[in-house]
Amino acid sequence: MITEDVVIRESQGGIIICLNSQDSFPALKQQLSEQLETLDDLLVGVQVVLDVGQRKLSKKETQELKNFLLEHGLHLKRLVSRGKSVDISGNKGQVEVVSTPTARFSNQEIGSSEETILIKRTIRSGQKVFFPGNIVVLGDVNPGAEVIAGGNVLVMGSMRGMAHAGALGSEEAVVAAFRLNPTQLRIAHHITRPPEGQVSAGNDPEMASIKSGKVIIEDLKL
Amino acid sequence: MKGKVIVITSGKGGVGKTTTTANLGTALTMLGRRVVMVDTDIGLRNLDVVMGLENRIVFDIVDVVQGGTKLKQALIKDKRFEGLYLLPAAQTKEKSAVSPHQMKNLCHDLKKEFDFVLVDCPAGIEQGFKNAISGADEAIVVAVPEVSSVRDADRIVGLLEAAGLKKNQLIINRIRPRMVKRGDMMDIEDMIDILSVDLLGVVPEDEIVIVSTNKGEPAVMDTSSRAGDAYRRIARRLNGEEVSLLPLNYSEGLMNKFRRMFKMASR
Repeated sequence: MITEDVVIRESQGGIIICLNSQDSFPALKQQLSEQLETLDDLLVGVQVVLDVGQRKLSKKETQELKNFLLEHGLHLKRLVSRGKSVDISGNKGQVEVVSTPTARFSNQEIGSSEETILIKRTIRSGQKVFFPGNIVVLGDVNPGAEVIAGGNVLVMGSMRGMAHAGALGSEEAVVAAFRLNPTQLRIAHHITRPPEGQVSAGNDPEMASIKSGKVIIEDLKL
Repeated sequence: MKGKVIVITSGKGGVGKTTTTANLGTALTMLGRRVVMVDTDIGLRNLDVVMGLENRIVFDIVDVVQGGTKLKQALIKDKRFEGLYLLPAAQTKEKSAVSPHQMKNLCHDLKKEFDFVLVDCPAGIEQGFKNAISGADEAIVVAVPEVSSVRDADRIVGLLEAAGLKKNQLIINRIRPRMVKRGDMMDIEDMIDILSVDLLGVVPEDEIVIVSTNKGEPAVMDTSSRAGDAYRRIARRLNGEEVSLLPLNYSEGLMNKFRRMFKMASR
């Protein structure tokens, strides 16, 4: 589950990971580990800015985090701690300290993010995509695949897997697909599944959204 | 001309990877090609048993990659067919005894001597799988017409594509045409719709496979085996021939006619 303690936001071709908790360093690593598990493989190679809030990290801890991120294919570019931003991507020993105001990201800000990613392939079983904004898939989403978006999920194909729109709390988010036959559908905090024993009638474009506190599915008139 | 390394994988266990490797290897040899079959299921080796070559194992794949044994010493020549060899797995070691890098080098060496290197992959997606795919040029994914098998096959194709293997083909194994007709079994179109990979062939359920496997004789050796016939057609496709897919209903109807003629109970 995505809580306020750990928040991921996309920014200028990279991502910012905010770890706001005051827990011990091993717990911090554990939280980070859990968050990294939700990231899709296509974010590998991306630059990361790590914001650890009011925490102060020793050089050893910083190096540990850097290596840890590297194991997941992410490059730690910048560390923001106590309002101070430290550039780490450079050569060993060279550290540039830049003072910036403490970064604070609220759910509201991310909820209204208009950024969208387009995935031009079928998402197969076992693959997971996470993005704080909208996700558009040009292909199918197979059973066993998961698409998790802070914004909306649009599938230009068969949606047969699991989709979670408004994953950061937005109840206005929708899931739409050319053929909507999900194993499970989630919008914000609502979780639904197809009715028992129903013959999958989804052959026309449909959209799932929240109306009067319930998830409803209606035909999408294109 | 350098050979091709094809890994035969599935994700799900028990769907017919080893059977497929044994039969395709034998059938390709019958078409005049030089083939080596490599068993990478360390600890649970089966390919040697299925080929009836268990008694002749002296050295195995682990001996070769760990440097002590030459490839020539470990390769077992099948005396029944010209140009068919087996590199057996180790039974008393663990999957960590081989690394992807070692596997890649091994496949590279084998390619020089053989037209086809068929790598029999273990079930699962862990170390054994990672080893098996590391030297491969292409993959054959085996699946049975069951929901769980299709899920696993989809996962596998995702992992193969992520590993850079672009040419992946599907063999649908153990299909029962009558069940498909009744709507009790998935049909070919349903599977291809989800998996979105090229279909290499379809092999029907055949009791002869069970009998011949236990005897250590691949089903392609038995001309009355429907599965054997399907494997032979697939081998011809792998060899570059254009062979049409046999319509399933045809062979089923014919068999029933014969049975009725000889007053045998229809299966």
